[in-house]
Amino acid sequence: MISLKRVEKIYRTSSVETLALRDINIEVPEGSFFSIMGPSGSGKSTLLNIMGLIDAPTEGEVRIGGNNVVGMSEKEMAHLRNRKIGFVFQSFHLIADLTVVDNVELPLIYRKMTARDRRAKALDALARVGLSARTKHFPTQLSGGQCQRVAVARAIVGDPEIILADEPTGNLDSAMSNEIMDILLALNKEEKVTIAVVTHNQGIADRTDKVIRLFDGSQVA
Amino acid sequence: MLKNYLKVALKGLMRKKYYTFISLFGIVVTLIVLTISVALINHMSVLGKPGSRLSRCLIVDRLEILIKKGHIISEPSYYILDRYVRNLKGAEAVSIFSDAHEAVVYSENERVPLKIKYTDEVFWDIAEFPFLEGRPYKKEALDRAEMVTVITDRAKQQIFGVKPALGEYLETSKGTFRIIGVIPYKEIRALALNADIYAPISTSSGKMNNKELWGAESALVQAADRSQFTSIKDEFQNHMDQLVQDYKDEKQINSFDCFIGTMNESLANDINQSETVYFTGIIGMMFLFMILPAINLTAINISRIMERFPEIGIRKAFGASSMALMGQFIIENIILTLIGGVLAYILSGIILSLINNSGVVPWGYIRLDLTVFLYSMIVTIFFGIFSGILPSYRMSRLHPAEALKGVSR
Repeated sequence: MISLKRVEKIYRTSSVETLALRDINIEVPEGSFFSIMGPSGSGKSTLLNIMGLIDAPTEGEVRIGGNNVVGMSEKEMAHLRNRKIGFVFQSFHLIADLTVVDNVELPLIYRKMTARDRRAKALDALARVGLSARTKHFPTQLSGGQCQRVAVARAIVGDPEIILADEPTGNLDSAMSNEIMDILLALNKEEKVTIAVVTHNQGIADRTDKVIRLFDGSQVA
Repeated sequence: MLKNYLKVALKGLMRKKYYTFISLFGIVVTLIVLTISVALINHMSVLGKPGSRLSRCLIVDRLEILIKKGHIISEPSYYILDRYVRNLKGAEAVSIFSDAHEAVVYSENERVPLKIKYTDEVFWDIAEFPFLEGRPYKKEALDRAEMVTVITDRAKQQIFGVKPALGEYLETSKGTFRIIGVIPYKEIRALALNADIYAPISTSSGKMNNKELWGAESALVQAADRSQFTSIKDEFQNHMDQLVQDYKDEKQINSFDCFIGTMNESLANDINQSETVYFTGIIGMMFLFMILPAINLTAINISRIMERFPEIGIRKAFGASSMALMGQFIIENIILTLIGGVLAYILSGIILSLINNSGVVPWGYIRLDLTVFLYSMIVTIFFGIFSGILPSYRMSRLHPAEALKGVSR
């Protein structure tokens, strides 16, 4: 499903060169649930971004569903992200000017769908995360846990094969964290969605099938 | 997708009130100036509806003669126009009429200065004014020098108020005329035709008896279509050559030039420019005026991209292509400029109404009609696209991971 070979990522400015990832080799089978752990600055988010095609590796090969994405056009990558990948971010990244349901609809507006179908799918996704009563609210009117559930609804609305979650529980208390993890686990078990979670929390990592550990940009486990 | 863009654009505008105010202020002020400029140009250059008789007319309204007495720049006399212009074979019709002269009328002991224009009967055929009441004067009235008049609804309002005017006698400093028709002032769309009251030219003995070359009259020469203008001008030139021959000894003419051209050419001739240079100059000035706030809006938009990084990153992460984002940003700009356009249009209408009512404009009624509105909309949309292209291009090139960094809800 997701395959990374000899992936390297270097951030360059005019005076500094920072090696963020070094010789990463990962094979993630379809339907697995794995976590990425490591100290701050170890390259966890960079790795997740490369898997999600929102950042490009400096060297190496990235395959999603068998297709090598390195060298793909910007439009092709946008299409692949839209169809196959859903994101959940630590800070939710909801658009403050849009209602909950409009936020959830966002991935679908870049598909050829009628407005009615889009709305139906968004409402269904919100029902799955238990937020049917908050569809007309704005993000600023919700708690952190509710915002993250909206973000999960947005990630699953397009029926992606992969969900990439960057510290999805980082801003939540333990009860909320467990709620979000329960939703992700259910998606993985019931719908066979491949899920990757970046986390600092060993308890969260313990609930996943596999843990990838990074240190200073290198894979240590 | 469009609905989503609209929501984001409108909510963003409401949320960022200061930005919205600054942007709209620039757009509105620019568009007010543009809309009023276009209205003024229209006012000066639109001569009736396309295909109307007026639109296929040439005007003869300027004479420049160097004779022994001196250098004379004037309008031609009725005598000359009647002798050398009325008989142009290529013309469908020729009308001779005077300048607008002051004719004072007293209404309830109030002095009302009006403009009177003396015309022939052909004037009404060419001008095609719609009559609100009554009718124009005919050839018989000219032949008999009948003291009849056609007045504008504005003059009627000034003198008679709401009382009927048709059949009433209008006592003026130029004589007493019986009112036989009323026309709408707003329909007088050319400076040359403008007046408050119109009377048969034969009722002005001074004009009919003037045997000089110069006077205070003009002629409208109606062609079958505009392609005939060149041949009519050639024929006119032959007639002028004949005039010079006829008056060579009597007036000792050294040089002679009589203007014939479209009304727009006449306008341009007044400032010694060709029609093309004149209108190109105006359009160039308008474009320059428009480009300054467009650059300003572009700069504001570019700086605003910083605060839109999260949204750009989110949209890209969920599958928005660069083209889709460019489209979104341009649509947002068009929405902003359209709001500015509508506001500017309403405010321009109010300003023009104040200008029209103040009497600052010496003639005619400056209208903000559909044509002006369409010009404004075209300018507005161009304005929106122009100021959105560069910021949207820069925005679309952002890498999603970069855009998402350091952002919060």
